[in-house]
Amino acid sequence: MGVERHLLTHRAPDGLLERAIRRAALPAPGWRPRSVALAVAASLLAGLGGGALLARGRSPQAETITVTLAAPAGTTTGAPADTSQIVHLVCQAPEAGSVAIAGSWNGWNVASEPMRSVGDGLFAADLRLPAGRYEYMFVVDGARWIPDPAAPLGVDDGFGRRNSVIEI
Amino acid sequence: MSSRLLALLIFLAPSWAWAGEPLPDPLRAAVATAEEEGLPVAALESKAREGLAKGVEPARIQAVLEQMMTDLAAVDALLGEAARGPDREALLLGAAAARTAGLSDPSLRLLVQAPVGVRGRGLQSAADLLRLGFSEGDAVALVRRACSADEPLRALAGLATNASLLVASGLAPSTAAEQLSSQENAGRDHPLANVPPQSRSDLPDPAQDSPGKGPK
Repeated sequence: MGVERHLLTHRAPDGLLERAIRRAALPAPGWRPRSVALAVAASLLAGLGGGALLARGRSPQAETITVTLAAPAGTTTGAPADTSQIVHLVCQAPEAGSVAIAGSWNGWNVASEPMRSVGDGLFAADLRLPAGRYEYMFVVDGARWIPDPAAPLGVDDGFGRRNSVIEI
Repeated sequence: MSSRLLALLIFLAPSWAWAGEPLPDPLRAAVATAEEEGLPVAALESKAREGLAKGVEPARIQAVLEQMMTDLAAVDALLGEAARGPDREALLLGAAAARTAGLSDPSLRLLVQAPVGVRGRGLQSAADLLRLGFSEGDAVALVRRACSADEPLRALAGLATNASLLVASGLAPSTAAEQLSSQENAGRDHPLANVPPQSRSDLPDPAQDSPGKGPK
């Protein structure tokens, strides 16, 4: 199976998508487009200042964003190290002073994956993760846990919330 | 206490819950019990730390851990010797998730026959598909096919995500299952080829995007 593209639609104000692309789609240091895959999507969290993956395109229909996720494009399977990917996450949280990602890969440590502010209330981060299945949430201002509404998969966390899921 | 100091304390409060820090006694005892019973403990410890980081009360975390232990012990007993492989933790976690999602025991035993290192992931995918509303028959068939692919981990990694997106695009789970199955059989068309046009305006051409790496 080669590259697969996945789509979602979300509502967004005019211009947000383009800003997200311009500001957040910056490759991380060491970026190797032929050997890693970029997982991109976008979402908006009205009111709560929610999280998102990177917006990628926009439908001609009003207020519909087309979101693209890319599956692994790199090497063959076998050793998990061969299938690690850079996952690019973007969170829109206009009111936030800081946003971090806590997930099963980092022991749910809200301090280990801070996102960088890229302006216009957007926060971005690049994660290199080996093949596997991971659960995560965005943490706004160190205290407010929110799921990524752009994540295609989610799962009940057992505590009354819903974790987002990344599959690599 | 100033509001700034209070905010700082709130921010720092969960820090002890992270890896490397000992768990509170009741949770540590639960994890120790699981270890004594031969159950995989990494996922239990991760769930404990997740709950603590999220500010969940320890009593509730403990209840979640106990339920996880019950589920893991049940699938351990069900699978018997099959659960003794090097992928024991992933297998038990996947089996417990699939069973909780509604997978029957005969189907569970069937999926456990997938290769070691793949079957745990396959069971997680089956759990995802069932939660998305796929029938057990469709979920098992799709997972078995992915597990037998040339690159099973990659096939499984995209399976539930593709399924979720197809369902989100408006397809019934049964139709989505047919499409996923036919795409794998055809080995040429994009998995979302039949998604309504308004949802795929930005769909890149897989052939152009990744020469020689189109879907099988």
